[in-house]
Amino acid sequence: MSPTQWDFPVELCCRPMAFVTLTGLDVVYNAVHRAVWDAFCANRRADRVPISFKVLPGDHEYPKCRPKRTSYEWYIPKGILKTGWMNKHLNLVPALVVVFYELDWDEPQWKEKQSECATRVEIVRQSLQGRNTKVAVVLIQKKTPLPPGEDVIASERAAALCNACELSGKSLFVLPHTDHLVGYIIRLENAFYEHAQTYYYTEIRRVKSHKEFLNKTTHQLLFVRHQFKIAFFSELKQDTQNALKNYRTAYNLVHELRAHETNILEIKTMAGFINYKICRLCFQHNTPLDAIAQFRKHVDLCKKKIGSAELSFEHAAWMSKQFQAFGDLFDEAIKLGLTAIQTQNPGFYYQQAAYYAQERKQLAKALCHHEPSVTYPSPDPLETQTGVLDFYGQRSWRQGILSFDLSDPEKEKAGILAVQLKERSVVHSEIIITLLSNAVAQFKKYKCPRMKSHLMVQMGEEYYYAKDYTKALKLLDYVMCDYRSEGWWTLLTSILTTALKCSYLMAQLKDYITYSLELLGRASTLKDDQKSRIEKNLINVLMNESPDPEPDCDILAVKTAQKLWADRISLAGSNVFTIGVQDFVPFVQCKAKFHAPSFHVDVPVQFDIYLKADCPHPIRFSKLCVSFNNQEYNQFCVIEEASKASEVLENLTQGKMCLVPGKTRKFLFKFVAKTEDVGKKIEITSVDLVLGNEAGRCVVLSWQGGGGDAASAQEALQASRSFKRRPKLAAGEVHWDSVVGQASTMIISRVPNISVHLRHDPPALTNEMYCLLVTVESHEKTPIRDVKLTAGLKPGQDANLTQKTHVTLHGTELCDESYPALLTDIPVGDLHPGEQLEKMLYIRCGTVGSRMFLVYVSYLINTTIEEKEIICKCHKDETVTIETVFPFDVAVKFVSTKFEHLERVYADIPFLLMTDVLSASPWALTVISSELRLAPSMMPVDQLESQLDKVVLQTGESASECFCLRCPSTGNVEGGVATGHYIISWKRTSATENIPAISTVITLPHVIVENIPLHVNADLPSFGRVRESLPVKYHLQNKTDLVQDVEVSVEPSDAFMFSGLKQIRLRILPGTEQEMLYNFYPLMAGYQQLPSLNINLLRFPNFTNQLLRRFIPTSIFVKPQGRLVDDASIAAV
Amino acid sequence: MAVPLPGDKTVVAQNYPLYIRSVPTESELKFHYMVHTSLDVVDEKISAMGKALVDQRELYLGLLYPTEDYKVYGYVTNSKVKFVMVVDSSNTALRDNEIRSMFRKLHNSYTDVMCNPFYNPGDRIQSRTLVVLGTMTRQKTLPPSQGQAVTACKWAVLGGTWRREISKGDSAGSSFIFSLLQGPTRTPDHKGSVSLA
Repeated sequence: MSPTQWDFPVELCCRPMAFVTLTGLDVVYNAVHRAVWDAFCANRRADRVPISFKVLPGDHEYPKCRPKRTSYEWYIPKGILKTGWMNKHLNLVPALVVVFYELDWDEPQWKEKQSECATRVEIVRQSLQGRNTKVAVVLIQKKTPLPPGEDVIASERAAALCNACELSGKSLFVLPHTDHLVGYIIRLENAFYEHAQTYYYTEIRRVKSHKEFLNKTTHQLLFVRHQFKIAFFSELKQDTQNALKNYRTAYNLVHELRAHETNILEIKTMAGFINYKICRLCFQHNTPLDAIAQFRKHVDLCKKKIGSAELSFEHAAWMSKQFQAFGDLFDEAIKLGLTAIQTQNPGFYYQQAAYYAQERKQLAKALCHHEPSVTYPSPDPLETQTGVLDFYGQRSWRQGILSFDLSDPEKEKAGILAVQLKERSVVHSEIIITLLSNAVAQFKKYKCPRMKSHLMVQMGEEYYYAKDYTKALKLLDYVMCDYRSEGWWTLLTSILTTALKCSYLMAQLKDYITYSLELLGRASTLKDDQKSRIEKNLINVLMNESPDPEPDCDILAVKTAQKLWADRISLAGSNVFTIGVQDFVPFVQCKAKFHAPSFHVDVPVQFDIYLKADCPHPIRFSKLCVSFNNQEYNQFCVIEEASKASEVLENLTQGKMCLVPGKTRKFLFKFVAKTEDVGKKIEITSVDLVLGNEAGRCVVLSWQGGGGDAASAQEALQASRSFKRRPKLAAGEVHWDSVVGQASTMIISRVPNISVHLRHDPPALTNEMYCLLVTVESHEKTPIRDVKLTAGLKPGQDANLTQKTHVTLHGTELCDESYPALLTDIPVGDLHPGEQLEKMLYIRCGTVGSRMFLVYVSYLINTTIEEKEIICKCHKDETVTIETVFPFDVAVKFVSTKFEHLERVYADIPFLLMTDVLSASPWALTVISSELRLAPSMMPVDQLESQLDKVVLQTGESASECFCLRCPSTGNVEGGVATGHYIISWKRTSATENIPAISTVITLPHVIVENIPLHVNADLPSFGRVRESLPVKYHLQNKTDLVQDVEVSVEPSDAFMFSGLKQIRLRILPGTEQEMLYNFYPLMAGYQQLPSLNINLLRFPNFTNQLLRRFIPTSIFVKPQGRLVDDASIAAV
Repeated sequence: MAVPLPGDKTVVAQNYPLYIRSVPTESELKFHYMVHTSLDVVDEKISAMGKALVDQRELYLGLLYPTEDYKVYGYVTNSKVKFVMVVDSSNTALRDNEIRSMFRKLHNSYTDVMCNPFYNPGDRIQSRTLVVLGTMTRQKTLPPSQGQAVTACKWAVLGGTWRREISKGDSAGSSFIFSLLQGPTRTPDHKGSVSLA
């Protein structure tokens, strides 16, 4: 029996195709025949009909057909299915034999050729005697045939040939050997395919016809056999639906057979075959759920049919094969387009196959451990005469025996022994690993990472059993971190235990140490006695001695390992193993904690390293050192004890280099930070704990940053949430969970001991030289040096502020754009204790809004820490926010000489400009002077003298000025005419003499100038008196270049009598004026309407009296008539 | 003795076991692996649920995956605590409804554990009360008429990380493992009666 006895035969697994043999082709020496054969067999794509061709000589002997049984009455079948049957119908018995013969229709020696052909056909028929195999003749012709019916000779000769060969016309074909060979061949093979189908159809009928002869008592096996044959022929016929139906029937029949220990293997074998066929066809029909259901049914039916207990490993092997084959079928279907899902994919079947393979291994181990003295039985009961079995699934030493009684128990015993001994040579691990790795590949595809990890663990363990420790370690190491990161400690411990065994057996020092460290740690669920053992081994290894073997290891492997360890010891030089612990959970935990998040440079930096051991016994370490991002500090943070290796176990509970399990040890470190590091962060980059002797062999546990391993983050989180009260501990001890790590600290400068005061009067006024008085007072105990002041706009504000803010130390002159916004490092000398100094700063703010100002005082001082003298730089800063406001608001308006508001002014006609300065400053302002600087287009009518000189304005007060101006005609200017600037020179009333005044320039608004054709002004007294003559003179000026006709009339008024021209029409020359004199005689006292003057310009109809009223008064105040007495008294005054 | 039913479960971000119990205790490691691998399916089911309808979704995940001899069921709370139960395939008395109600009782018991002011969410659960409670629940679940399949039943809860912001229902939630263990089943002597071992 071959080791692959459980594999399905190839003829079962292949796709059955109609078998057709070709005879009469000389494919070796005849090029034409060769070409024909190639066209048949080369390049058979899926669109060609499913036929398997074979070239055989014409006189080939086909398997003999046994004589037909006329009655089954006395026939007892010896088994279910003969081992040769499927192969016979796939490869030996053709459905059709084709005779190729070279013969053209115009062959001159036709008669001879015809009879030769007939002879060949006859020979073939002879060897197929009794079979239903069809025969066909193909004539290979050199000429292209004429269309059917046109070649009379051809039809005649064809008929004659058919007759001679006893062929039907349908079985005679012509193959012209021309350019279109492949086309002809495809037509030929389609015809062959039809013949073959007919053949298989008759075969099915033939097998079915046996059924009526069978009876249910003696021919049970035949029911299965015939059903199987029908199904198989249906497959050959490519009728897969019927094939499936018949296989299903066969499957049910096979389970109806009476099962006994002697035939159970045969039943299972056949059930397995049929099940395979059913599943395969279901997948082919794209009904995967049917396939899965069938397979489940199959497994459920067969699971318990173990058979002989002594050979129960055979059942496991068979089960494993069932699952594997189904997995293969499933996988194949997926490759052809089926979609699988996470919970239903081939992986599960491979996994189960692996499980049964493992079971097979266990059973084989239990059943096949014969003494070495037991020899293989002779003669070999597994040998058969032919070398193969007659029936599938039978025992070679009792083939064809159907009786359930064992006729020869001795022979049976020898047979079982032979099978058991054979099983011993099977490399189970290899089978298991292959199946597992198939499953891994599947689960990877279907998003099952944990399943994958689990299978890899199994693979690793299997490699361990197979003594391939390197591969085992590689796999286990790969998956370990998945279990660690998910916190499945039980599983991790189990994996680590296997890994430790592997590393022990290979004497891999570093791995051995690493796994030991973790198995001793808190993530390990090992019992304390195991941990003690591992700890002892670890200490041995560190002292360069061999560890004790791990339990449950193979004895031979242990012997080899012990030799390896001995070699290691003799080679031992200085081996230092550095193990980064952040990726696993070692048995020592570490936390680093700076005492504060920041330290002043003049105090020593202090931090604690907390260590806690989780191993069962106290352990001593030889060195603890801390590394920083600035390596210069490393030298100050080392604890080392010169200890000999032998002392590791001594004085265990004493000494600071010893860790007692469960107790938290604290180690204090301190160092003085460098002054260059002020403002920098000091970080612990690693904490290294050395176990063992650095001169000999040692392990460096290296924590990155401030300690912590793969599990500590989660633990810290849990601890922080916990409400549990922690039990009291003795003084000086701490709870591990209550320690919160702090792996970095800032070095900050020494605390300054000076005071900085600012004095000023906010708010600042735009553009003034704002005075800020800085007072610095030293409270230091020793003199301070190199005091420097940095003052000005605090950086980091709006960039525009920088351009509009200027700072100077000198208030006597106005600062301009060239002054900076921030004055840096102004040296102000040294200060003795208690001394103070003052500094005036002047700030000029060009825009309103709030600004932050910074005053920063730095100085140097000598101090001593830890008996080291250092120069500290200290600084103190103050910031102040100052609001800037406009000192005053200036309002400007244009009015007529009658103080009426003007939208526009008229060319050459005087008007008034009024300015109104309203103080907005909370402080009193002094207006030094004001000045009106006119634009060239404006003319003053009189002197432009300031009326505001030296005026003091309190908050809310205002000062007004009025200027009389005239604007010459300018033509029509778009947007008006510039008026000029108004300049106010001012300062705070409180400011000292030497502070310069600030000039604020106000740009006056533009004004629209309009020309008028005629200007009228009136000369009249400021008041009148009843019954006293009131002379009024009107001046009419022609402002145009034209001679103007003017109609003037005066309307009478009740309040006046008057003399003068009441209505006149006159003419005024360009540029000249006309005077009109009237004498008004007031009749009533009070504010009286004057007789109104109406002017009508004939050329300018737009010139209205309304416009006129702007220029001339319309009323006048009339006083009552005076009394003489009063006049006299006035005269007396 | 029939093989008992072990079960447990875990959660997304940190799927560590809060409580695992199996009865009987032999080949416990195998059941641990089984529970661990079932998390693949739990993860997948949770991510398929998405964020939609957090309030209305079904907590019971149903049969996670079939193995030859066991059935693995899952249940996940809104805060992503997962319960996994492994039962013997041959125990036909445990149908979907029974499993579902067992999960519900377990969930209630877990809620009780969480209500314990001395319990720190996320710690591995050690509770005798829970076991007892589970036993009683079981008894209620299966009245004697149905209970002939089960003579005794114990169970336990395990968990992983637990987040307080339960209301947010974020997918990174917590994990919780839980196992239901069942004692010997279907022995002829006990047919028709229920007793608590």
